[in-house]
Amino acid sequence: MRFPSLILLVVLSTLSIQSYAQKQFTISGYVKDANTGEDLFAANVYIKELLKGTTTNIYGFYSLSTEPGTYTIVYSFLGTQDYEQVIKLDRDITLNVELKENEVITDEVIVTGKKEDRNVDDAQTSVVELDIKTVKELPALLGEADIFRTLQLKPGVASAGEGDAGLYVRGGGPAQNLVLLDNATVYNPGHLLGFFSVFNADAIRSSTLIKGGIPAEYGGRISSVLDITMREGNMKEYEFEGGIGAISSRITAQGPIVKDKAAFIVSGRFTYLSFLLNPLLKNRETPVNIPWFFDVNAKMNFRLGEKDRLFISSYFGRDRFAFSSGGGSGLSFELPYGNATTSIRWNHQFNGKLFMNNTFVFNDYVSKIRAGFQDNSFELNSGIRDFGLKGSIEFFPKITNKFKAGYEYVFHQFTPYIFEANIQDEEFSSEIDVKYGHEFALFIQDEVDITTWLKINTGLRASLYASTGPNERIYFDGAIPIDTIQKGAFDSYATYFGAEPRINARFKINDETSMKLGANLNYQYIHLVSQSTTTLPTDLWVTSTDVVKPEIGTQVSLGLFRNFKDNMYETSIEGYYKKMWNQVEYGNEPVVTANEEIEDQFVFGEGQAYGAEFYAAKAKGKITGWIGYTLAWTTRNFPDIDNGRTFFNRYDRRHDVSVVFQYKINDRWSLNATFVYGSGQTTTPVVNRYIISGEIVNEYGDRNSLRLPAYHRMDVGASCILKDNEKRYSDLNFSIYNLYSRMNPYFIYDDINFDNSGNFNIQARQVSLIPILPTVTWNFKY
Amino acid sequence: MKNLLFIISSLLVSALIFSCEKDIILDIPPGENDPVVEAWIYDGSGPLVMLSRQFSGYGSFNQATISDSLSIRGANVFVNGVELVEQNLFELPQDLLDQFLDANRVPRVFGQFVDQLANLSVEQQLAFASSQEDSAFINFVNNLNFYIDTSNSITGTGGAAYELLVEADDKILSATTTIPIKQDINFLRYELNNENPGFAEVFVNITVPDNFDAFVLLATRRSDTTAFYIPDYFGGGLSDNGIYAGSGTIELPLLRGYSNDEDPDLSVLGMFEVGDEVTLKWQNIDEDTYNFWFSVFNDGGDTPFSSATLAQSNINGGVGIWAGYNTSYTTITIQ
Repeated sequence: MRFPSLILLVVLSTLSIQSYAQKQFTISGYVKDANTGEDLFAANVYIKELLKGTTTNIYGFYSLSTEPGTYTIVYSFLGTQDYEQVIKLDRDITLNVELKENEVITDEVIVTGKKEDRNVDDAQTSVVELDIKTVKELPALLGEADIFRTLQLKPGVASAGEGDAGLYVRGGGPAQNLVLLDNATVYNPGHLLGFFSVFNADAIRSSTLIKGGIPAEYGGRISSVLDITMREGNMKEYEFEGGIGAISSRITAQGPIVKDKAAFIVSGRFTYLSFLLNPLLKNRETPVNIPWFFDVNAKMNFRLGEKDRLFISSYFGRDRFAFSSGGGSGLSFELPYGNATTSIRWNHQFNGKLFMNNTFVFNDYVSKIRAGFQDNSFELNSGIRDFGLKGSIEFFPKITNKFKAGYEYVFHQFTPYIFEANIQDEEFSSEIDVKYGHEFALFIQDEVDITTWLKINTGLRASLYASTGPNERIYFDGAIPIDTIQKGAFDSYATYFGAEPRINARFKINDETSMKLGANLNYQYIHLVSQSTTTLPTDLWVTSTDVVKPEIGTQVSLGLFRNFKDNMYETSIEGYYKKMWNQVEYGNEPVVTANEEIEDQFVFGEGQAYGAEFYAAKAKGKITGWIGYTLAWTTRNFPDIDNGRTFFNRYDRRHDVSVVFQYKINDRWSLNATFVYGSGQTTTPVVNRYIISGEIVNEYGDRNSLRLPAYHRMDVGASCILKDNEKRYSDLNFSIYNLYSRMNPYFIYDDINFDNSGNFNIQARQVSLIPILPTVTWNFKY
Repeated sequence: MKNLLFIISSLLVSALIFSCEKDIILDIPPGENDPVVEAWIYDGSGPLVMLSRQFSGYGSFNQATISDSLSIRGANVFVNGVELVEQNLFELPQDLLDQFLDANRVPRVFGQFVDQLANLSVEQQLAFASSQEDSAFINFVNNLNFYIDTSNSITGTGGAAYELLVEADDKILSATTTIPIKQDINFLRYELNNENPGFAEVFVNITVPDNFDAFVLLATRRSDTTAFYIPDYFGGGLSDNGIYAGSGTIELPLLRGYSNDEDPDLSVLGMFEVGDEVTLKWQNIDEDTYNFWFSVFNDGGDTPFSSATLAQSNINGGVGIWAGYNTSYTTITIQ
């Protein structure tokens, strides 16, 4: 029996079992924050007598169905007081609960935003849930709290160092991660060429990274899922918070539109270094403009009666790099880019067991390169725009069973590198058309406690992709067009179908120990190609076509999870193996003509990654933190690169170590430190050179055959709470980035110097980015 | 200059952060050392072939040493079955000598005498060089070796294909190139730049028919005492004129070429100066030759802002380029 058929059988079997079960009643409702009225995601709802429970979904909804009886229901969540209520379950009951903030913080306070033993108990393997509070407390580059930088401190997530916002999860590339913000895809998660992520920690409620065993509800990427949700806005009272940092400031406002029924939150960041420094740099010999960015997160949520909710959330961000040599008709260069996302979600609760969500999503990522000199201007446009509809139904037939099914449709518009020029008032443009793609998916998944020791989450996702017109595709022989095919809006160049089985299984050895198995097969129909060695805003998203096949990735992971001392210590060891097909890269040849279809420049190959991740965390007490170590191998094999020789991927990191230390000295002061170590990145070296017509021509060795020096860095920080009462809060956050000023390699370049005697010297030089850098950030809230 | 985009990107990054640099020693295993071919045939001239070896990626290099130790001598070289004869620079006929001097940017090669040579014609420079018997320079010149058709049985013709066969260093190399049909410009025109007194923009007036798919490599010089330099930034030295097909008569900006050791003023980038006697060397080339130069100009190294781009050679068994050029020269004086 094939794997997808087996999954389907398991799901249907578990559902059919329910129909023969004894009469049950349901207790359901929402868990909210008593102070703000916001829904609490992943709050623990627990029936004391049965030693069984559940957690709230992303909308704060929970449902427990069990046999009639009198039960004590316990509600708990990070930083809130537990709430208990005894109920007589002789009918379906709706119980909405508001949890109050902990008034007394003890040394034993839990600092993770999850159920204490969730890492052991949940079926989901290979998951990282970040606590936003931790993100904000850790020392950060220029004081900018950054979700991505914190995720890179976890095992299995490699960092490329400064200047690269990409997440390299278990050997996958940055574009193989599905990054969602309130269900909308964020295509470029980097500000300032990747020095910072686009996610403003003030606006974020939760962040979950799934490295393996990806549930069937997620699709479209083969490596990982990063699901980020925005805060919903205070339903009770108006609140303002913000911070003033070294390069940027941020402000957040939230409050009720109608108390307890509708709320809003608006959060914005902007950099101001450019406004301060650009006037001073104007008179430099080589004038340079400081780049800037801004972003705005906004969200509104409405309670439309007891059973319906509406959320409207949006993100808009822009970066701009500019360079002008002055002189009016001199050289100018501009690189504006940015994301815009909007999602509109509607929840409906049919009854205590059935919960529905539908989402309309819109994403738009645009990148432009503008250049001008003399009276001529050039522009290269690229980007991707999506319109999508997603929906799911969650069904909670039994306390031990959660079923979810749904659909997804996304209409993609790809703008390839479209060249436009204005030369002496004559306009020219390349003849490349916008590309279109339709992505459909249906999924089912079911999480069942088969026995007290076995919990499985099985799922199946069926995906369909069609690359269509209306456009024309020019076929070239070299640079000469030889044929043109025109397609209408419903004519497809290629159609692909993918059956994507998923499974997670948890084998509980005892209350503190479990073993987990995760496996998934994923299809990815859109691809990011880059001509550089890092993630840049000019990287291009392209569609699958008859030439570019869908990427396929499969992963198997196996882990042992063990907590100690009443969950004070969490440990895990996970091993994984990942195989990737139809990987897309540029070949070793440059893009030749502006008219040529970009996909004609691609080469295709395979990749594999395997490794082991070790993790130990202290989750409670005055001293908290974690140590992560990853031993990993990541390779690629392309028949058209290096004659098919297998080569290490650029971010192959044999060893990757992260240490995070947090010490709460007293109610006012806390200290934080992080240390990271990673084996050096690979690069392609110049092995020989020769001279042709006075030009020095490089002859490269095998791809990525040279390893750069290792990356390591220590950051330290301290937080001091200046004021903390019911009305106002403020703190100062001191951080020192790169404490011992390690000159980590950013890249190597060749410095070629000629003298007047016709002699020359070629020296390799290492560029390092950021030496020791102290910053202070003031944060406030009232 | 070819990494101008890289330079700009680096400037932008350095504007944001405090980047630091240091020399680094790389432990790089030696690569294969295939013979290097630099060979061409112009419309109306015979073939000229230079053979050399590659040198290591890093270190200090002396041009004279390079020409001495890396030139391949005693090779068997054939074009369309006609065996070429090995000669030195001073034995070259005038047309091939001019081609070599234009292509190899003579003033820098003659660098140690640059002050003395600045106001001399190429012929005068050569005469000066030949008088410097004891200098490393004359060794360099004498060590240059060329393979040419002394029988004058091969003359480049537009539209014809030429096969090169080389037996050297126990290897057999082969390549084919075509001299394209000439598709010349109409004329050059300039405009004085009002914002930058003393500078001017130059334009190429060209008629582009519907079926125009010519590839062009161009170079400029500012007087007959300076060398031709390819404006190898923003693709200015190469043109795939197919993108202008059907545009009729158009004007394209002609960018000024800079030598590798020149630091151009970006505020007047690409402009010529009043008093310049601008000569455009306009060379129709075939697609292989275009791809070779395109790959060379676009190789920025393996960095965050560029990728390692292999030079697209048309030499089977070696590296380099066997190019057919259909060349024309147009001059305009900026007043």
